[in-house]
Amino acid sequence: MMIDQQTTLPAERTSGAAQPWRLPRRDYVLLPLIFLGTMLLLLAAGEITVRLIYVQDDAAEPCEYVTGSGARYHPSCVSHTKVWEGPWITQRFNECGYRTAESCAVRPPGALRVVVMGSSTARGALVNYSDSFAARASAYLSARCGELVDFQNLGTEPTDVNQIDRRIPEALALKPSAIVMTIGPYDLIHLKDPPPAAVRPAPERLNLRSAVYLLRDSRLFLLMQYYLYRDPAFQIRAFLLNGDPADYVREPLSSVWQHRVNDAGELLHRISSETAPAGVPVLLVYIPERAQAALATLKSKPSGVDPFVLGSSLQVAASKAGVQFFDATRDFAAAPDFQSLFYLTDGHPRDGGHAALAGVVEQGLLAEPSFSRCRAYAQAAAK
Amino acid sequence: MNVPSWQFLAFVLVGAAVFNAGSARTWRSAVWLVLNLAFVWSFSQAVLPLAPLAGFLAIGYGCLAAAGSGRKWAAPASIVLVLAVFVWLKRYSFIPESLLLPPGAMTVGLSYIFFRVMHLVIDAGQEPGRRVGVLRYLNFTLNFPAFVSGPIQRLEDYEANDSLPLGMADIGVAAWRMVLGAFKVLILSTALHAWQSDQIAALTGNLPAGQRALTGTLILVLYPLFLYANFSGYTDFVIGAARLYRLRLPENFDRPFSAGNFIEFWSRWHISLSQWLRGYVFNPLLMTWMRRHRSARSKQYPSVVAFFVTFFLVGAWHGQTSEFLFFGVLQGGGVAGNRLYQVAMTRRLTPAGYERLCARPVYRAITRGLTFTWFAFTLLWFWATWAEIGGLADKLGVLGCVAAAVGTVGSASIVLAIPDLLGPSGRWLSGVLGSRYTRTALASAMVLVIAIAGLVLNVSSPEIVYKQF
Repeated sequence: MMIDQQTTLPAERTSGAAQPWRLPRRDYVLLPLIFLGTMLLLLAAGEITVRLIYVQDDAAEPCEYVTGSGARYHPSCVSHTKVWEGPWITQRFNECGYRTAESCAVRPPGALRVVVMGSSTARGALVNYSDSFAARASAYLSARCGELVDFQNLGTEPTDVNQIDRRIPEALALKPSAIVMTIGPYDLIHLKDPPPAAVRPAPERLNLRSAVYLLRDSRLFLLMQYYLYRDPAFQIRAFLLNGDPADYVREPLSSVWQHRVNDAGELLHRISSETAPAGVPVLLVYIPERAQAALATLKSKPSGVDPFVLGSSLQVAASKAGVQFFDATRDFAAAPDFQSLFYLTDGHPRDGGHAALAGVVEQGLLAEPSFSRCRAYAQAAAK
Repeated sequence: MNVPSWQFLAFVLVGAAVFNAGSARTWRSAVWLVLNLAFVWSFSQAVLPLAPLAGFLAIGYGCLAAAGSGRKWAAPASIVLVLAVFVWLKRYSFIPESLLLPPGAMTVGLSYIFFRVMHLVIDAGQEPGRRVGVLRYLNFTLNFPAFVSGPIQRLEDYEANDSLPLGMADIGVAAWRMVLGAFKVLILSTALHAWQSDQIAALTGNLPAGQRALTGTLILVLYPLFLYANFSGYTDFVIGAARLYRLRLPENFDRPFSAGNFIEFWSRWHISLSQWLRGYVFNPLLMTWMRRHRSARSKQYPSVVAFFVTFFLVGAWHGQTSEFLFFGVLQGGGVAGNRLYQVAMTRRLTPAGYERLCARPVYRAITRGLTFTWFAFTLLWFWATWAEIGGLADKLGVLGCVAAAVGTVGSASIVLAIPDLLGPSGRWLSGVLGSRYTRTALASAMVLVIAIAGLVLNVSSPEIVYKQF
């Protein structure tokens, strides 16, 4: 093939050249097209390569089915999921469809049992069961109490949080010593979302908005985000650029967030109105997001920013409903390996985050009267 | 301001837009001066650290005026004064600490300003009556694209190339050079530097002999490649940037590793420095020698001595420590030895016979390999201290050192012969790569890689090595 001399750049132009060297007209179209074409080709090749290297398999959740009151899991079912930035995770559900190693059969009167409720973090999404806060707390408390303290995990999805009160009879039927409920900013944002069964999937149309979502869901974008978010300072800067999703760390709370807190307060009222007559205490544990926990580690915080402002508001709402409240933000901020606490792009806590969460749950439960015998056992064991 | 960096790119683009907004020479000279001063200011952002540099420029201008006055003593005295002030400001280690300025003075670009000032002073001495105005002087000596690490340009060359036409094609070529330069510095040199650092860390005395030899070879081979990517990348970038100001800077590199001997190598590596020294050291030395020794026998060796002195200065200029002095000895020794070999071979084979030998592919491949290896070897005193070199030699052992040298010669001979082996296909390939369509595609790919590495991966690149000289 001969190379067209017209396409070759002059290696050296004489200094005395009076006129600029002109491009053929076609180049004003061709060169930008080549630029765009190359970019698109490389991005597509990059996306395919990243997808081959970092596999994700969370689309098929074979154990899950949706009812009118939210997601449920098939009894005695096993599933394997993987988020692209994490390892393969095995989820095993017991005969009641709870993500728990122990049976859900009614235990003898006086046996210590905890029911866990909440969304995906409560369920231990994206961590193996032994790393989840429920399993960790169960192991710790069993050792501390000298008897099995089993955790029946009824955790499902964020869209189900507002309907947790509808599952309280199911929870109370398990004869629990306490109910531990988790909540986070994501749950609050989606508290009033309609349940999945009520949502009719809209026909897919390609427009600017869907193109942006497509780009944000691309593996290449997530990979870039992952590397950027390794630096907590960068994540804080990016997070604070968000409007409403970041307003929960700004004081005073925006009216939208105040509404969300009020909604959560109403939910807690509904829950405690059923649990209080049964004498079952409810512990609400607030789980921070990574940027919020990173903010809590800062000695000097940006002006108008308070990572604890949402926790304080929730505490007021919880105490009005007679629910014990624990804000895990400080425990996350004080964790020794901050990088191990969260999946960087997915946002769920990793095993390190669950360890921090387990500590909060353990201390909260040990303070409960129903767990007083554990203190006595621990003292006796120490002697 | 680092060169290259996003900050520098923004500075260049905004400056070029303002510079080209007016076509009057006064406008462009004024904008150029403001940009030059703003660029220098960006390094210290305080007056006091800049005072020594300003003083050097003022002394240089005074010396320029004195040298051009026509008085017999003025030119030599001016040259000595400029040299002395330069050596003093550069804090050469042989100067007692008590005589030096306290540390903190801004010396970035000082060496390159020195070459420009010195050339003006020498030329003024040779052509009394030549005048250089203050604005011309400042714009030439502070020329911001070439401020940090050159290339070094003579005033005549600068002024012949500072008002070139600027069309879309020129902007395209400038963009290509800037993208290529940024890619070399930010990606290639970063990767090569990291690779060499890993090899140095991995080298222990406990490694099996084969692996030790391979590690030693990589340590030796990777540094010249890193230095080339780093310095030629910087040069590409500033040549592209200067072009947007209608200025053509001289090239500093011409495929240096294709050189078949060490003399040829120095005509392809840091060309602007070696040409400056050729013009102001080598040629005067040779002329002086030739005038004093007119016998036929003595004509064969003066160039050997002149080569040694010139390239000793090239090496010694790089730094103020004994390692750099030894680096200079090795450069001068290499070039002088090369010249002696040429003289001996020409005598033995006749000039035509020696030329035929040099044209043989196998001979060229081996001499290329040897040239590369010698340069890589001398660079040990460029990037390492005596203690570090001793440590490497200890870990490699005698056999490891020999194996690393043989490995470097062998691998360099083979790899550097590839363009010759490609023959017509190589010419076709270089034609394809020279096409502006191919270059646009390549530049697009490089921009994407740079953006990902810089903005997303937050890769921190090593500094431009020549910035410290």
